Amino acid sequence: MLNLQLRDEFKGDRLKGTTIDFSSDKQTSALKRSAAEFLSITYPSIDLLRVLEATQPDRSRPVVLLGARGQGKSHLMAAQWHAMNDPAEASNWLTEWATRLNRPELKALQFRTEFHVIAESLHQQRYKFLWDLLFDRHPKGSYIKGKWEGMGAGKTNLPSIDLLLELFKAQPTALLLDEFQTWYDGLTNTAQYPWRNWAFNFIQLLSEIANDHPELLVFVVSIRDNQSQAYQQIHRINPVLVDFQGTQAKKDRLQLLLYRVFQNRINVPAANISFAIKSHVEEYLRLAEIAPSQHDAKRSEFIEAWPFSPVLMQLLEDQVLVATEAQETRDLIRILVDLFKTRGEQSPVITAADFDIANEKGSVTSLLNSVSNNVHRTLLQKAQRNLEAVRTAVQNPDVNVPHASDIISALWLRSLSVDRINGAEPAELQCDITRVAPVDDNTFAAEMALIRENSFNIHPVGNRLVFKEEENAEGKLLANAKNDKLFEQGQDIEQLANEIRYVIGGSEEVSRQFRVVVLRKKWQSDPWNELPENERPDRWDGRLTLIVLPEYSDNLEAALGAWLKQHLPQRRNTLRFLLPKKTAGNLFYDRDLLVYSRAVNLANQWKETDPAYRPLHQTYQQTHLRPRLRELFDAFAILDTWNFAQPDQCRFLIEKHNATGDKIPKAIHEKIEKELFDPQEFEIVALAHAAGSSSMAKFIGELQEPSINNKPCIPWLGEVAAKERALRLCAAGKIAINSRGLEMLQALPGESEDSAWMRLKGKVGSGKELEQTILLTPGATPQSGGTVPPAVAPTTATPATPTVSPSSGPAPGNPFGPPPTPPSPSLKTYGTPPKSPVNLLGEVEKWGISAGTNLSSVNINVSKMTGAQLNDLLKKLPDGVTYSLNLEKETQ
Amino acid sequence: MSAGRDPKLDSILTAPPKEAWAAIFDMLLEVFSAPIPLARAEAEIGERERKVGELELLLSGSAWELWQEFEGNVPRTTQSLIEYWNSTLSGKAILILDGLSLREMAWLLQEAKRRGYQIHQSAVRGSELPSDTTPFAKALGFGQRSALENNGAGSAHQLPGARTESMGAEWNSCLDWMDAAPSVVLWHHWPDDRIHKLAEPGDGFQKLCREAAQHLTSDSFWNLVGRMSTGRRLVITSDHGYAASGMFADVGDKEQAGWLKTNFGSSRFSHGPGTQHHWIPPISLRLTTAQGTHQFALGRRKWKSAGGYPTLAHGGLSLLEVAVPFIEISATKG
Repeated sequence: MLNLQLRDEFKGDRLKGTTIDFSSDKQTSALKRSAAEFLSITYPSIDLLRVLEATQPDRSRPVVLLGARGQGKSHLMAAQWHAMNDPAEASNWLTEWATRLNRPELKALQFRTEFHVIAESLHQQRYKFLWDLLFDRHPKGSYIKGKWEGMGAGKTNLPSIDLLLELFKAQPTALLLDEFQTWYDGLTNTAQYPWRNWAFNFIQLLSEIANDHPELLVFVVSIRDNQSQAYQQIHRINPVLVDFQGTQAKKDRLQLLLYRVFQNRINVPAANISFAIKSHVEEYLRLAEIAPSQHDAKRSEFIEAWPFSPVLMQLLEDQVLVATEAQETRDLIRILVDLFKTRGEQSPVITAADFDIANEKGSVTSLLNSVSNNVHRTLLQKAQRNLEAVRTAVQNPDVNVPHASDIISALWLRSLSVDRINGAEPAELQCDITRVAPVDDNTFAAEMALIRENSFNIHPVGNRLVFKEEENAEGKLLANAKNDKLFEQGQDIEQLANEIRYVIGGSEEVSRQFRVVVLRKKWQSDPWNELPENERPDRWDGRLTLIVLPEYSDNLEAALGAWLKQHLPQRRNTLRFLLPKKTAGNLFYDRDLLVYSRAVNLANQWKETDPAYRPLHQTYQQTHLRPRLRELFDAFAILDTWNFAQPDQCRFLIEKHNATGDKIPKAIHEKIEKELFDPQEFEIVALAHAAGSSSMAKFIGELQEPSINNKPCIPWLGEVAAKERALRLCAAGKIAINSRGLEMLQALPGESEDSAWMRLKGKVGSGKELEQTILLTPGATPQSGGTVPPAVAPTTATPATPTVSPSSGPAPGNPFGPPPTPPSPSLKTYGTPPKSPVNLLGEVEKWGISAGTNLSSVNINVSKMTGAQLNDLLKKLPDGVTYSLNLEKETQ
Repeated sequence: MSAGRDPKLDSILTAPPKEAWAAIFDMLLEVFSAPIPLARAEAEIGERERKVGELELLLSGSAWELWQEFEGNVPRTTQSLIEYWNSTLSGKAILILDGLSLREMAWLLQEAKRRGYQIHQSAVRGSELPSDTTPFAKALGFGQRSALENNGAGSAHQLPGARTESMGAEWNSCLDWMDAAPSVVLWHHWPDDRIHKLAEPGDGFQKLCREAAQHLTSDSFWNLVGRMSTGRRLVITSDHGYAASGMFADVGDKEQAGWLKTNFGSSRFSHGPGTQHHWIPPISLRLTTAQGTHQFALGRRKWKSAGGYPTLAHGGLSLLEVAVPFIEISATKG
C-alpha cells in the first residue's frame, strides 16, 4: 500500500530477532557495525536525546536506563557508544534529523571526543569483578592493576578511589554497562565472599567519580527496575534517569517503531495516506461518536500511525502486550512486521481485524510466540472453533457472514486485555472491519447477530461483547441448535411435535378427556409411520381425538377429505382437526420454532451433565417455545358432509375456537356441543336405532362414521356423551334401553324426566357390554300397587283372582279402574344408619331428592356431640324454617 | 293412550274366556307367522315381541283372571298331539323341539314353503301350566322327557305305536336314528339347552334369535324334517315357549321385588300355593291346574335375584312362554 517498504532485515520469510547485541567481540554485534549504518536505523527518540544531553561535555552526569526487557535500552546504549566513538558521524546524523523533524536544537548537541569508551554487557559474565573490566580494557589498566596488587599487606579489597582517579586522569573514560542488574543480582554475598558488597562499594566509587569529575568518567548503566540494590546505590548520586515513560514517550515510540520497521515511512506523503484511509477514518469518527471539534486531531492521529490504526496501537501497547507479558518494543516490532507482511497490501489501515485467526502463519503466531499465558493460547483455539462453527451453521457463509473471520479476530484480540473492561462494543468491531468502503449498519447488525447466535464463547457484558474461555452456554446451545446436521434424524421434529402436544393437551385435566395427536411432516402422504406407536389409530382409546395439522393447506376441505378416505378406514366422524393460523405456514418448516425446539431438546440432554443448561432449558421451553405454540392455532375443522366417491367434495365446518393453549380442546368441545351439535338430529338417529332394536355399540358405531348420501354428519361428542344423551332420551321416555338383560332402563309412567335421569344415569356400561345393551322403543310395563288390605280373610287363597264364571265376563269392577291409591300425595319414608355428612348427601341424591322436593318430618339424629359442634350446626341451619330441639345434657 | 288402542284388545276384555283366548291366539298367529327376512331377524323379532307387549300388559294388568281359564279354554299342544296321533292312521311323525317359541314359527313356515312342503296346519297351541318340560311329558303319558330316549317309553302313553327318541345331537346325527318306522316321535332338546346356556346377562336373546334363524333355515335341519316326513305326516311343535325375561321391566317397588325374589328366586313359578300378597293388579297368580297348584309370576316383569335373573326363562304366565307353534306338514312329491 502506497509502496511502503519494510526494512530489508524484516523482509525475509523468517523474522530475525530485533535484539541489539551489545557484545563487542561478536560479528553480529551492534558495536561491530559502522556508526553510519547503526545510526541509520536509529530514531532520535526523546529517551536517546536525554542520554546524549546527559553526557554533554559540560554537564555530564551518570545515566541510568531503567526499563523492562525489550524497551530499547541496549539500542540507546549502542547509539551512545557509536556517538562517542564516531562523534562526526553522530553529528551528521543529528543534523539530518534536526531538519527532518524540524528541530534545530538537535544540532546543538555535542559529543565527547577524547574519551576511551568501554562497553560491556555484564550478563556475559566475562569478569568476576567490575575492576577487572576496567583494568582489562583501559589503556592504563595493567599499570594501575600492578600498582594495586603491589600494595602487599596494605592491599585493599577494592581498588582505592585514588587508584581509580589516577586511572581516569590518565585517560578519561566512558563506561557503558548493559544488563547491570542481571549481573549484580547474581553475585554471591556471604561473609567469606562478600562480592556483592564489594560490587556495591565499587559502584559507589564510580558514581562519585562520575558525579564529581564528569570530565574524567561518563558512567551509563541499564537496569530493569528500581527495586534492586544496584539501582539504589547509583540513585544516591542523582543520576539522569531515562525510563521510557515521558509524556511524549508514547508518540515518540510510535515514530520510533514506524521508523524502525519501515525504510520509507517518512517518505510517504500525508495527503496520500489521508486519501487511502478516508473511509475508515470517517467511519471511525461516526461510530465512535467523536465530537466534531476533535475530528482533525483524530485524523492526524490516524495519519501519524499509518499503516497501523492508532486504535490498534493503543490496544496492543496498553492492553494486549501487558496482558500477555510480551517483551515490549521488541515483540511489538515483530508483531507489527508480521501484520504488515500479511495484511499490509490488503488493508489501507491495519486494525484489530487484521489479526487473522484463520491464518496460521500470520501475525497471530508472532503474537502468540510472545505470549506466555496459556489461557490466551486456548482462547485462540476457541476463537478458531467459533469461527468454524459460525461458518458451518450459517447457510452460504460467504454471503451471509462475509466478515465473520474479521469480526471474530477483532473481538478475540480485544478480549485479550487484562482490563476489567475488555472486549468490544459492536461499533468498535464495525469500525475494525471497515476498510475501503463503509459497512452498512443494518447489514453489520444482521451479520453480528448471526455470529453471536452461532458462536458460543462470545458473552455479552453490558453492551460489550467479550470473548471468554468459558463457553457461553446459551451461545453454544443456539449454535448447536442451528446446526442442521445434528438433527438429521428428525429429533427436532419430534421435540416440536411433543411440545405442541403438551401445550394443547398436556395438562392432566385435558389429557384425561382428549387425545391430542400431532401429525408430522408427511401428514398427507404417510401420517402414521412418523408417529410413535402409541399415538397411531389402532391404539386410540375412548378419548376424543384432536388431530393437530402442521399447516393450513390451500383447499383444506379437499385435502382433509382425501386424507380421511386414504388414511382412516373407520371412525371418520370422530376426528377434530386443529388448524394453525393461515399465515403460519408449515410449522415443521418454521426455522424459529425448529431452533427453539432443538434448543429445548439439547438443553434437556445437556442439563444432566452441566447444570448451566437447566435454566436455559426452562427459558427456551417456557418463555420462547411454548408461548408461541399456544397462540399458533386459532381454528378447527370437523366433518360436515362426506363423499367417499369424490373425497374432494367433502365439506367441513371450519370455525374459530377463541382459545389458546390447553384451553383449546375444551373450547372446541364446547363450541361443537353448543353450536354445531343438533340434538334433534341425534334424537332422530337414536329413535331409528331403537325402532330397529340396535345395540348401543351399533348405535355408537354409526355415530362414529360419517352420514352418507350427503347428509350432514352429527358431530361426535364422545362415547360418554353419546351414552349420556341416549340415557337422557331414555329418561325423557323416548327410548328404552335394555342393559344386558339385567335391567330395563325406561322412564316410569308419571315419572319426571329429572327423577328418571337421577335413577338411570350411569347405568349404561362400556366396552363389550355396549354390544349387549339394546336400544328399544319404550313400551308400557306392568305396574302394581296398593297397600295391605286391612281385613284380608286368611281363608281367601287367591285374593286377586276372583273366581268368575266364563260367561259372567270380567271381574266385578272395571279392571282398567285404577287401584284406589293415588289421590293424596303419597309419602315415602327413607332412612339411613349414621353416616358422615358427605355420605348423607349421597344418600339424599340416591333418594331422588332435588332442590324442589318437598319433605316433611325431617329428623336428623346426633347421638353425641359437643356444645361447639351444636352451635356450629345451628348457625348453618337455613332461615325461614323453625326447628325444635331436644337433647340430653350431661350434668356433673 | 285410548286413542291408539287396538279395538281388539277391548273386545278381549269383554269377551267370554274361550273367545278371548281364541282371539288372543289368533292375534299371536297373525303376528308370528308372517315371514321374516333373514337379515332383519333380531330387529323383526324384537318388533314382534313389542307388538305382543300390549296383549301381555292387558293379560297381566287388567284381564289377569283369564289365566284361570287358560287350561280349560285354549287348545293345548298335548291334546292336539293326541288328537293328531289318533286321527292319523299311518305314517305319522312328531318332532318336538324343546322350548321352541312362536318367535321361531315364521322360519319353519317360510322355509317349509320354500322347500316345497305342504303345510296342512299352522296354529298356536297352549303349553301345560307350568310351561315346563316335565308337565308336558306327563300330559302325554311319559314320566319325563328322558323316558322317550332310545324308544324306551313303553306303551302306556298317549302316542301308541310310536318309535320314540329324545336327544340333543346335531341334526345330521339325528338322521342316523331315523329309520323306516311308520310312527316316530322325536323330542329334540334344541333350543331349550341353548336357552338355559344363553340365559346369562348379555345379549343372549339376540344370539338365540340369530342361532334359531340359522338352525331352522339350515339344510341339515331340513334334511331331518325331510327324512321324518318321508311317507309320514309330520307335526313340528314344542313343549313350551320361553320369555325374553331380560327384556322385561324391572319391578320398581322394593317390597314387591323382595316378595318375588323370596317366592320365585330365579324362576318363573314355584311349586305349591305359595304365600299371599296384597297387590293389585297382582304380580303373581296361584293356579290349580292338571299339574297341581302352583304360584306363577304374572306378566312381563322381572326382579333382581342372586346371580342375576336369567335373561331367558320359562314357566311363568306370559304369552310367549305358554303359546307354542303347532305345524303339520307333509312332503310333496314331484
